[in-house]
Amino acid sequence: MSVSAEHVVVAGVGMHPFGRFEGVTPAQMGQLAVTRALADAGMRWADVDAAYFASMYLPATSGARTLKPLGATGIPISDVEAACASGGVALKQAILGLRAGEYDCVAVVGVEKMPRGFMDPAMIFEPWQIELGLSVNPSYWAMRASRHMHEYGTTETQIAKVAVKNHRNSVHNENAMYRKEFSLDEILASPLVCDPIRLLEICAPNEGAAAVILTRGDRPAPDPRPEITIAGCAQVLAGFSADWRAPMHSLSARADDAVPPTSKAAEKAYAEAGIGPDDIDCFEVQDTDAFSELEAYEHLGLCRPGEGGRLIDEGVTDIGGPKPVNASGGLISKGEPVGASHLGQVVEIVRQLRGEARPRQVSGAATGLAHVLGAAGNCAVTILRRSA
Amino acid sequence: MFGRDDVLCLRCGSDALADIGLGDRGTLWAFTVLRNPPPGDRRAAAISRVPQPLGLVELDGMAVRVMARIDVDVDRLEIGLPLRLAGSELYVDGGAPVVGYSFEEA
Repeated sequence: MSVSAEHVVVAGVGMHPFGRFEGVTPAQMGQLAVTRALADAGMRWADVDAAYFASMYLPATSGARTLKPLGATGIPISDVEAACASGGVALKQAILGLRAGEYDCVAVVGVEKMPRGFMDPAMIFEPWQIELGLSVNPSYWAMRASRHMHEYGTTETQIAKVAVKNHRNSVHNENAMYRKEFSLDEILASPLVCDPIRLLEICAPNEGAAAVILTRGDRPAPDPRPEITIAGCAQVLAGFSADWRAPMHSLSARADDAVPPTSKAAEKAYAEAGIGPDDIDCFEVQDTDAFSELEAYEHLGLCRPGEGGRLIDEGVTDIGGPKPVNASGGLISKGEPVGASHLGQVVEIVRQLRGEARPRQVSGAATGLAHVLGAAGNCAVTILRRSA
Repeated sequence: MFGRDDVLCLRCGSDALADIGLGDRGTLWAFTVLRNPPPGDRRAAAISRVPQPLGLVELDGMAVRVMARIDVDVDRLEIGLPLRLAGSELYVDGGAPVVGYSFEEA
C-alpha cells in the first residue's frame, strides 16, 4: 500500500487488565493504558494532538479528568458514547481526524467501571420497558438463539462449545478477568440465565481500560517493528431490528427488515480494506454470550447463514483452525467493560499481527478484524493489516 | 409504531403519520425464559415470579413483531404457538394494581 494521508498507523497499544479493581479509579485505569500505549509507541503525551475517550458509565468530562493529568497540553479531548460500540466509534473519529489532516497523532482511550450484574436498564431502556420486565439484556440474545435453533437446528451443545473454546483461550491472556478452563459438561451444567443461554456462556460487565495511539502514515515515527495499519473502520446503526439482536429503543419492529447491523458494518469495512472475510487471519468478535459468537460468524461472512454451529463443531474458529475467533478468550472470559471492549480487541489484534501473542498466537497472522455490537443496534467493525 | 415516538416516517421522511390498530392475535416467533428476577425494586416487582417467559410475537397479517411477556407454562413454549393479547397484573402499588400487557395461549 502506498503511503498517503489516508494511511493510518497503529503506533502503540496498551491495556489495563479487564476485571474487578476495588479502589482503583477509572482515571487511574485509563492513565495506565495510555502510558503503556505511549511507551509501546516510543512517544510522549506531548506528541499527542487530540484524544477520543470512550465510555458508557462514566460521568461528564471523564476524558479530560483522565487524560489532563498526563500533561496540560491543551489538546482537544472528546468523550464518545455508543453503548457497547463506544470504542469503535471513538476509533472512527480519530481516523477521520488523521485522514482530514487535522492531526498527526491521536490517542484513543476506552475506560469503564461498571457495577456487578445485569447492565443498568435505565441506561438503554424506557421506564415502561423496565416496568414490564423487558429490560434484561441477555433475553434479547437468548431469543435470537431460540430462533436460530428453530430455523437451523443449532444445538445447545454447539453454543456451549463456543464457551469451552473461549474459556480455554483465556488461560493465556493476562488481561482477562476469568482464566479458567471449563469442560463441555461443566458449561452445560451451569445455571440457565435466559434460556438457552447459561451462566458460563455469558460475559460479565466489569472494569478495565485500553488505549491505542494512531499516527498518520506519512509522518512515521521510527519503529523497527512491522507497521500495523487501519485497513478499514466502519460504524453503523441498525435502522430496525426486527429480530431484536440488540436491545432497541422501541417495542415493535417491522418483520421485513432484518439486515443485521454486523453485516452492514462488515460490508463497509471489507470494501474499505479491499478484502473479504476469506482474507482475514484472526477475528475478535462480540461474544456477549456464546450464541452471539455463532451468529457473528454468519453475519461477518465466515460461513453461510445457519452454519455457525458447524464451524464450531469442526474447530474452524479454534486458535489452530483456519479462522481463529476470540483467541484472547473473548468477552466471555475478559468481561465487557463496554467503553474499553473494542479497543481491547484492537490491542489483541495488533499483538497478533506483530507476533507478540505468545501461547495464543495465531500463526502467521497478517490481517485481523475486531467487531462490537450493542444497544440501539450500534455496531463497529475495524480491520487491521500488517505491512509486508 | 407501538412503543415508538417516531417524528417522521423512518423510511421516506413523510410527516403524514397515522395511528393504526395492531391485531391482538399472533404466533410465538422466538422466546426465552428469565430464570432470575432482575435486580432493583421496580424490576423485581415487574418480574415477581420466575421462571418468566418472554418472547417475540409475530402479529397475524402484519409484518410486525412485538416483544412481550408470555404468560404460558414453560413446558408449553414452542415457536409457532398461537397467542392472544392479554393483560397481566405486574404488581400492586399503594393498593392499586399496576397492569401491563402480555400474551397468553390462544
